[in-house]
Formats: sequence, C-alpha cells, structure tokens
Amino acid sequence: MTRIIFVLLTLFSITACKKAEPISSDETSPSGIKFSLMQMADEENVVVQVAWPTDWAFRSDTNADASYIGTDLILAGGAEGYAAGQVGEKFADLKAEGSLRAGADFVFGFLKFKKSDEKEVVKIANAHLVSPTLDQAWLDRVRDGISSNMAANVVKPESQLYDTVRWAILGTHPLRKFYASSSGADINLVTRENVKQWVAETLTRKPKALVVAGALTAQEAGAMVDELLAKLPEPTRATNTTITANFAPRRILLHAPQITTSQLFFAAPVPPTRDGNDVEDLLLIDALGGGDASALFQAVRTELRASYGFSAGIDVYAQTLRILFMNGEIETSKMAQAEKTVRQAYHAFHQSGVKTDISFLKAPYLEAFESLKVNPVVLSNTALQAILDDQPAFRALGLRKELDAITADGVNARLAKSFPKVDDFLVVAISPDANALPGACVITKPEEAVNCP
Amino acid sequence: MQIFRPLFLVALLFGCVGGVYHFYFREPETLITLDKTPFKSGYIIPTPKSLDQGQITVYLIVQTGEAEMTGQEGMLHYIEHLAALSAFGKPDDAFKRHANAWTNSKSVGYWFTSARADLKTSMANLSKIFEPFSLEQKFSIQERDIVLREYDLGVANNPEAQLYADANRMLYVGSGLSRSVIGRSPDIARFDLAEAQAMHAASHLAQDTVLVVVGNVSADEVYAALPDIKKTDLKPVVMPEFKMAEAVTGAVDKPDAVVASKLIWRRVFALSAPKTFDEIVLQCNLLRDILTSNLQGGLEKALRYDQFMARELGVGCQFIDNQHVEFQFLAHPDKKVSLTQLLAGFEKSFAEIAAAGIPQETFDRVKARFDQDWPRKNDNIAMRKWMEEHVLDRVSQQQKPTSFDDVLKMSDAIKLSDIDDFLKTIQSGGRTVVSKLGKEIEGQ
Repeated sequence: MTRIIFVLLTLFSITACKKAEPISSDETSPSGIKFSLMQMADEENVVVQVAWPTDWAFRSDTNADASYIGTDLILAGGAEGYAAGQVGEKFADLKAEGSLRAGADFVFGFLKFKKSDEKEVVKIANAHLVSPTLDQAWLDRVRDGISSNMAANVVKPESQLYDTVRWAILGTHPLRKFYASSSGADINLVTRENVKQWVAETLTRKPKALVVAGALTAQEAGAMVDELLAKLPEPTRATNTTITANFAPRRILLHAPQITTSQLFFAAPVPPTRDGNDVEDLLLIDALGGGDASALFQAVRTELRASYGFSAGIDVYAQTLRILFMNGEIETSKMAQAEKTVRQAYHAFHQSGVKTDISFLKAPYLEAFESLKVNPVVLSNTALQAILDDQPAFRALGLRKELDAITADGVNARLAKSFPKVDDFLVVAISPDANALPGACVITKPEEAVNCP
Repeated sequence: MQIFRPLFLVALLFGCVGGVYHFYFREPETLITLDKTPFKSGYIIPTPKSLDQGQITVYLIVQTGEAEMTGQEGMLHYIEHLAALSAFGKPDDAFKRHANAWTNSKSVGYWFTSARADLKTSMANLSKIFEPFSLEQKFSIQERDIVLREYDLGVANNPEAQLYADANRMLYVGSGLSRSVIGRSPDIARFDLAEAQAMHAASHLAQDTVLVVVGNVSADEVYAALPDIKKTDLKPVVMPEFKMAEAVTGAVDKPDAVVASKLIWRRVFALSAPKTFDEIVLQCNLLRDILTSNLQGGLEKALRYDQFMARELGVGCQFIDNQHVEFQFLAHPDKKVSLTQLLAGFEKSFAEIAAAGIPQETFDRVKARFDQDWPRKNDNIAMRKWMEEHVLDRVSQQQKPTSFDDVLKMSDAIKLSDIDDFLKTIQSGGRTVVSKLGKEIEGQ
C-alpha cells in the first residue's frame, strides 16, 4: 500500500512541477495605465508590445510619410543622453531588441530584453520615446533612403498595379497616400516640424493596448510600464478612423506599354477580424490560393498554363477594412482567358467549399498556435491583436482549442456567409497590351482608376 | 502514518527533480544517420513528440547542380519542374500534401510533406524523380512557358538579379559557378524535351542523392517505407576542382537601372590555409558582425556613422571550396555621395581596418554576442529548427552535416588572429568585380 501511495505521490509531484502554462490577467499600473500581463514562469526574456491609436494617415492636413520617417528616425537618430548609433550597440550587447512600426490606425512599439536588464533597457526606451533627438542630418538620411526606395518601386509593374487598386478602392481619401509607392514628391516635403508633431500627438501615455509577457508579477510589470511611459503626454485629440471604401465591381486595365509582363488582381471586402471567425479565414485562404494544391494554382497554372503561380490572401488596409485578393503574373496573350478561369475557379470553390477532412489545412497552424505557450513574442503580439479587436487578451491562449474545434461545416458556413460572391470582385490588370482585357476601362495612369465606371 | 510525511517529501523532491530534469536538462533528440538506404546517405531530423503534428516531410536532395552542367544554362531547373510534376502527381481535393522543389548551383532538391500514415506512399511518389518523365509531351513543352513566367517574376523586372548574373560571368569565368541557374529567356523558350530527358537521366541518380526525413519517426519506420530504386551503373557528375581566374579587378555596371543606387563589391580570394566549410561559415559570420558594427574596426562605424557616406551597408561571404571564398560588400550611398566616392571610401576604410587589425575589445564584445546566438540545448523548438536548417543547407551545398557540439567547439575556437588573417587575406587581393547599380549620384 505504501508503495502505491509513493508511486501516486511521485506522479502527482511530477505534475505539480511541470512547467506552467502562461496566465493572462488584466492589470492597471500604479499611475493608472491599463495593460495585459501574460505571466510566463521561468521565461528569461520580458516582451512589451504597445499599440498607440493614430489617425494621422486618415487626415488631409498631415503628411502621411512623416509617420514612416518618424518611426525610423526615433530608432536611428538617438535621444537625449544617447548619441545616434550608440544604443544599437548597447542593445546588441544585451541581446535586447526594440522597434517602432507605423500602421494605418496604430503605431506599434516592441521591446524585448532579459529580465535582469530591465532597468537599463526601459530607461533607454523611455528616453527615445520622450526625448528623441530628431536630428536634421539623420532626418535627411532617413527621408532620402525611403524616398529612393519609393522612386525605385514606383516603376515596378506590381507597384503600379497596387496603386491602381488603391485608387479604385480608396479614391482620394488620405489613407491611399499612406500606402502609395508613388508619393515621392510628398515625402521630400516632410520637415522636422511634421515629425515633431507626429511624435507629440502619437506617443502618449494612453495606448489602445499594452501587453507584457514574461516572468513578472503584476506589481513588477506595473512599475515597469510606468517607467516605460513616464513623462509621455496625455492624448490631445480623439482619433477618427472611419472610412468609406468603394468596392463596386469594376474591370480596369492599366495600359503600360513599356513593361514586359502582365498581372491580374481581384479584390473584394471581407469582414474585419473583430467580427470573429478569422481562424476559419486562414484555412479558406490556404485552400483557395495557398500553394500548389490550391484551387487557384490548379486552375491558372496547372490547367490554363498561364502563370507561375496565382495566389490568394487577405490585405488589411485598416482595422475595419480587410480585402480578399487573388493575384498573379499572367502571360499577356492569356489574360482574357485567365480572368474567366479565375472567376470559374472561385465560383466553384465558393459553391463547394472544403472537403470534410481539413486536418491537413489545420496542420501548419497547430505548431504556430502551440508555440504561443512558450514564445513571449508571439504570445504578446497575438494578445495585442485580440485587444485591438476588443477581444480579451486571453483569446491568444485558447487559439489552439479554437482551431481544434473548427469543422469543415463551420469553414464552409463562413465561406458562404462572409466571403464575396464571384460577381462582387473588382478586377484590375496591368499589361503592355491595351486590349488584354476586352471591355475593361483602359487607363494609362493609376489615378485615372477613380473615374472608371 | 509516521512514515507518510517523510515519504511524501522524498517523493515530492524526486518528482520535482525529475520534472526539472525533464524540462531543462534533457538531451534533445539528435540527428539520426540512416546507413541502409539506396541513397548516398540519409538522415532523420527527429521532431520531439511534444511538437509532433502527425506530419512527415521527406527531402530527396540530388547533389548535382547547375555548376556541374554543360550545354544550355537553366536546363537543370526546367528538368526539376518536369521531375517534380511527374513525381508529385495531381493533389487531391483534401490538400493532403505539400510539395515543392528547388535548383541551385550545387543541388536539386525535392520535398513532400504528408500524413505520417502515408509515409510509404509519399516516399514512393517522391522517388519517381529518378524515373523518366511521365507527363504528356504537350504539357511538358508548355512547362517552358511556366519557367518563362518564373523568369519574368525573378529576373525580367529585377535589375539587381540581372547585374548579379552578368557579374558572375566575369567573377567565375572558366568555372561552372558562372552559369545562371534559371538561364536566359530566349534559351528557356527553346529547351528541347528529348535533351531534358537525357540530361535528367544523367543527373538524377539515387547514389548521388541524400535522403532527409523530418518528423517523429524512427529509422526502422523509414527503412520499412523505403522505395525500390532501380540500380544504374551511371556515375554521378563531379564538379571539376575550382580554379580561380586571374586576380584582376573588373567592372559590371547598370547605370540605367531605375533603382536606389547601390555599390556591390565582390572578391573571390584564396585562403592562406585550407579550412572546413563550417570554419569558413563561422569566421565569415563573425567577421560580418564586426564589420557591420558601430565599434572600432567596423565598416559601419567608418562609413555610416563617422563619414556619413553610406546610409545602409552589408557584408557577406559565399563558400566556394575549402580554399576559396567570395566576399561581398553592398552599400547604398548617402545623398550627394557618388558611387565612385563610396567605392573609394570603402576601399580606404577596408584597407585601414585590415592593416590595423580588429581591436581586441571589439572582437571580445562581438564574440560575446555571437556566443549568445546559439539555441539552448533544452529548447526543443529552437534546436529542431537549427538542426533542420543546418542539415538542409549543408546537404544542398554538397557538404556533410556537422553535429551541434562540434559546431559549437569550432565557434569557441575562433581567435582574433583568425579574423585578422581573414581580413588581410581578402585585402591582399583576388579576382574582383565592382558593380555600380543605378545612377552615379542619386536624384541627378
């Protein structure tokens, strides 16, 4: 009997000492900043992810490119007490990482460091948020670099195609300029004052979401959050990111005689991730256009022999503006037939959906969702996205179970209810042949797309 | 019950120690060598049970690449398309497999991912890469159009890819490494199917192929699933010994390209003494980290921070053989700095750094960072990833994989004198091609 008890107790104690899964909680720092904590026992790194709301790209009185320059300049140009280039070496020594990225409706901050280096790293990050040097010489360098890359991109057929698509969908709304590869003239007008204004109104002590992941208590994390955002101003304005897009189905061809290849692009709206069922969307996109077994690849490459590959994806113009796209490079002489083939393949997919066994579609996501338990970067990023969609941060920890529970019927119900019908698509092409897409509205500049009926 | 409490504590202690050992000190699954296959060699990269998603990926990597071919450049890549299409077959509606293939200068690789239960079938399918193409003739000829579309995507609208191909012809003149893997568009349009079939038979030999299996699978399970391969007496193609052409400096420019102006400086040089593949890769990577730092001895410090000449720069190496390496310096100039000024600035700074040597403080600092980049042995996910990348990279480059411990030992053994020797050897000369891509001065 004693032996049995011993064995049972041993098993019990092994279970008791098994590495714990992350625990999610909603917290408030001593100074009143709300954040989500993902406690990960024994994790040596701490990760902080922040999303500041912005409508800079949605306004006509701003220069959209100032946000790109601002994020790069803060990182490269130094801060009070830190010369340019100094912190990069310090972070490399500490194996710490930091970044800022400008999105359309949020600016994302990222910080990763060893817990033992917290004080030093957080002090450096705070200095760069509160007192960036915004040195003119570095501003010129950053701006010239982005400007050169834009000038090189603008001649690429795919850039001209995407610009045309955005002219068709966004028209003259300022958000179009935020994504445009052809705003070379605008970027050269960005001044230090523009960047200072962007910094002042964006980097505040009221982010929309802030997630901390690591082996910290709520008290430790709260104190760290206060240090990180110390001396940042309160927001001075409410952001407004409402936008009306034009998804009327049209057929547009950008005639570009100088290029050698043709491309075809289909676009239609899908509901925002905040409405749910976004995991089903991942599986549907893979089945539709995610590899050599997908419906589009089989139709356009294997059957029609018109393209190296024709794929599908979802593009996020803004939190509430998601676009299902299908695109690929097409042999010019087969453009008209390719358009018909894509329509037929999509219609057939929309009608029949996926087969009953979806285990292989799920497989690539199993490992990714499993890694949420042990990877503080992936976990905190997923939690941040959940919060931005007004969902609880702990959804990130349940994604694996969500995926397990998804059935083929559920996926097909999502397809029928939320994916566009075949006649809902805007079709845009770029080609050296003006007659490649008979009956299309033929234009010679991307901006003319706005006038196509 | 007197005995209960001590027993409980002992059990708890043992249990905790066991648990901690299991999660923190357990040896990771190591590479398994397969020595009873019809192939040149074979390996299993085990997936820990905790990460097993019920799938197995099988790679067959033919260790003959474009550099060993004669005749039209790009034909081997066309052959890869035809062999893959023959082997993979049409996917079923349930997407029950992923498959793809690649070609490079030294190998042609094919991979097939399927459910664990389908291992035998997928290995049988994959091994059809050794059999004559089973495609309809019309479909095979149409595949040239697909390759042309791939050329359009990767080369036709990519001035940098075109410049690299041109520079390769000058840098590697007389060697198969000068050949383009994808070929040239007029040639692709004229590829002959009968010629492709013949070259396929000569280049795709099981005895020249390495099998790599990734998944939660044992050697016995792989042996049981091995396909029957017809034996042949053909001998694998062997790459002639690399002979560096005359150590001169040439220029391959593309001033009309609409790109952000870029300087690309490439030098093939002979090492002062032979080194293993891993030694070369490790020392090159450490040298790269030093030169791209803002520390004394860094090109980044000299050209980006002190002189404000390059807004962005990078360096890299390419293994050629145990005695030869290619070194590359790439940089975008700052506004108002010409590509010629940037070239002069680079050559001057590089010569000064090579002559002075890397300061010990810089070496120690960067080496300490370098040492922290290795995955921890108890981190199953990171170790599996490292092993997969290492094995596939080495096999694709016609090399044997090295154990993690041996790579670590080689890394630990790197001294400052090794790096200084590397730098001085690059500086002492070699066959060099300087390329200016885009306008001499941006914006003018």
